Amino acid sequence: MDPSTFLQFFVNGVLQGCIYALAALGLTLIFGVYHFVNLAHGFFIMLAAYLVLQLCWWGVTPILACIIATILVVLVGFLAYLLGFSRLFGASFLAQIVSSFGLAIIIENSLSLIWKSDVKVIHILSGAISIGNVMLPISRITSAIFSVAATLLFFLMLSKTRLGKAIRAVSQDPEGASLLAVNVNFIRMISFIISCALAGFAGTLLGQVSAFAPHDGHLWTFRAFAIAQLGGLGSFTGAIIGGLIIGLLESFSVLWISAGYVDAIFFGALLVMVLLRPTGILGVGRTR
Amino acid sequence: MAAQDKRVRANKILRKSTAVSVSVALIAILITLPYILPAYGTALLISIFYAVILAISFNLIAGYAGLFSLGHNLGLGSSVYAFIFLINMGIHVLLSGFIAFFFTVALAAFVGAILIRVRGAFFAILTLAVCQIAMAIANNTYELGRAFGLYLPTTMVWSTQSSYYAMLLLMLVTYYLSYKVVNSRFGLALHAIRESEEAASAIGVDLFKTKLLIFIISSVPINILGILHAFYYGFTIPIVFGLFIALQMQFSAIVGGLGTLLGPIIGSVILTLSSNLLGLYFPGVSWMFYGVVILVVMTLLPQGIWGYVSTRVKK
Amino acid sequence: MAIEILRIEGITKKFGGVVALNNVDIIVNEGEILGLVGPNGSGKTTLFNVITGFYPPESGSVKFLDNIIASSKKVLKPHEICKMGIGRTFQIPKPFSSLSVLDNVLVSVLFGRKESISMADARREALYSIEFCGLSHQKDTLSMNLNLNDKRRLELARALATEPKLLLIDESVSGLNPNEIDGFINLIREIRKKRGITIVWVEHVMRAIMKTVNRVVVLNFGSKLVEGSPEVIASDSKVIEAYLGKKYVL
Repeated sequence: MDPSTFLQFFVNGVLQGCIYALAALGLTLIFGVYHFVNLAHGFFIMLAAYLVLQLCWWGVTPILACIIATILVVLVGFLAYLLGFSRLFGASFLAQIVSSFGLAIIIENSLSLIWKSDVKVIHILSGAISIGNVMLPISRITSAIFSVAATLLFFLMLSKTRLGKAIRAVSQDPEGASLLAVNVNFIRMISFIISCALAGFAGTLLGQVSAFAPHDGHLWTFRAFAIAQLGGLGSFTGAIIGGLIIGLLESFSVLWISAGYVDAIFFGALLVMVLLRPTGILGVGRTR
Repeated sequence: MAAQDKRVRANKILRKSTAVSVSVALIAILITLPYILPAYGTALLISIFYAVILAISFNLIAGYAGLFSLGHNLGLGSSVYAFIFLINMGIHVLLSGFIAFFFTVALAAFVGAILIRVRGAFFAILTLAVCQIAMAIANNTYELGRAFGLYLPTTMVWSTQSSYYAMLLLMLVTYYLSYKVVNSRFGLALHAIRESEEAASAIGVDLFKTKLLIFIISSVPINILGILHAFYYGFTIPIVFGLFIALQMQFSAIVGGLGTLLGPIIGSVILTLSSNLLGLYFPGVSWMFYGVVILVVMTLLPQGIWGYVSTRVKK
Repeated sequence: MAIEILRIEGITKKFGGVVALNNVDIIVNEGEILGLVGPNGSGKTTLFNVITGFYPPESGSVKFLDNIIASSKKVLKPHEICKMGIGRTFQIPKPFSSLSVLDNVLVSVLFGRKESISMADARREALYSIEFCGLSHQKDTLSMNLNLNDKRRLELARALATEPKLLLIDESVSGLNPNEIDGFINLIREIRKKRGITIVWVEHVMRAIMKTVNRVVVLNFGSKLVEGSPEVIASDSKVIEAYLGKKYVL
């Protein structure tokens, strides 16, 4: 295999991986704070993509569309939170899985009712630039750049702000945090909102880079889970690493196996990781 | 004391004989229905039986053993694909059936042995992962028909009537199987494992062996269902491994009552009937209906309809 | 000559950085009631968990009747150890909540013994175990509806029904009133006298254990502090210090 082909697929993988990492951050945040995997996560991502599509059809400028879509997803998530999602913390494992699936299904069906079930893509930026023999579609570059920016913002918030410190405290030790006068319930609510924002924003970017249809929501949920698990469930750095690895694995699978397996690669990675090294690559993951 | 014991026993016999006579009456009705109902009525009943078989099997692994499998339809897809594949290779029907059946049982044993070691949430997601990988394989392999799937020779496809009776028979056998399992000493072990694995282990229950056994046993009806699926529908596509069917299975069992014998039946009947009726008047929302129902049930009646009824009766 | 039924040699158990058991040596002789005491967190329940196969030790070995049942290399599974003849109760009772008392014990009889047994015989054996523990009047009660005293008795009945040679009892009487405690002391004595079962009893309620046991082993921070007769232990300054100062007069 010649080096420029390798480089092409490598770059594809990294660019995609940046967005994947962002998509997984929200799931990791929810897991850290609630000890619960939100199975509707992928559908918040999908919802954002569809909203951007619709807003662009209505002639809204793309950047504004992305921002509005993210905000709308946060509102929808907050609505779900108020309507009872908040009770899922502490509920039995069965209740958590089944209820979040229920929500996921409702969103999925709503999406196909409103926008039909055919496959859509968001075309905002077209064209590509070439560096040497490597072709870089502009939409992929900008999406990756925005993902990295959002990720950096998130990490900054986490490490420098009081809110971030409170979130980290609640993730590690809710009882201890409450003793230190942290309003745990408030932090949990804020974390859910931030998670929706991360998912929404990731959705606006993913929609420009991949084709999507309502049922893909489940794939996004489990892809995000696989990424989080790969890096170590509960670790934000792990989510970044996991995102990049999955991005690369999927990219090279197109080259080495076939494009048809792209949506099964992360499932395979998940299987291998859980069976062989449940604490993730970094070894810091929680095994529930 | 003796008089009270006699009364308790008399009550038991009375309850048992009413249950038996009601069941016999129901079965008699079900046997005659295809002659009365129009074709779509029979077809609707077939999809109810289909859902019941899936739900009972799911209930065995998730409700009685506490192992929540998101990919219990692995056996369904494997057996229908294996069966049709073998038939298309020219192998005799009976031999194809046997090979497909034993292949899927072996597959269940293999997958189960690996995945059972893994805890709760991970077990659920990994079973899903296996199914999705199977779906990808089916979707991408030329010999398995890729996205178009595999087709049974049209001469071999069964009439609706024959399929009806086959499905009815399988459903009754599956129910009987679940009844026998639950009321056996093996069923006691399952119950114990579900309530407290540690205590069960400390008093002599082999956790791994018991869990593996129920995993295999609960996939047997699904494996056979796959073969009937082949005869009824005449074809299969990769979606048969999909999350869609797994969720339907789950929801039917949970709405009816996980961990009860009649729950899966009640849940399947209610959900299948109502989503089909709903689909006639409001096409496109039947799937959302499942989602709404499950959220309502989880909020108000987490033990499911029959679960609630039977705990009230017990007290 | 006392027969060794259990030999715990050099058992060390770590959880991450925490050393829960540190080079513990204990010998249990057949037919005795051995008391195992120590402040909270001293490793008593961890020791039970190592003996019964729930945790593998980092080093050391546990021999039951000359068979190694736990070592850093070989650990038998809890159900295998049960069938070999070691029964145990849990500190926080773990009944099979939605099963009746009879069904709870039935599971033990059916699965905890070495030889297989018919259903009819199993019921009879279960009823005997229930009667021995004074729960006959509750045999059809759902175990989730039992009070604490009966739940503790159920733990014993379940363990006894597996026909153990050695019984590990983990805090049976904390939280019970004095009458119930006396009832338990009698029951434990009966177990040794009538069934010839060797007992290791972990307990916090001092007056209960000091009256009943032949020998006491004291653990503190995962190490064996002292061992001896109840009178000697009660006046040992190290033990008093470990418990922060109460002297128990027998």
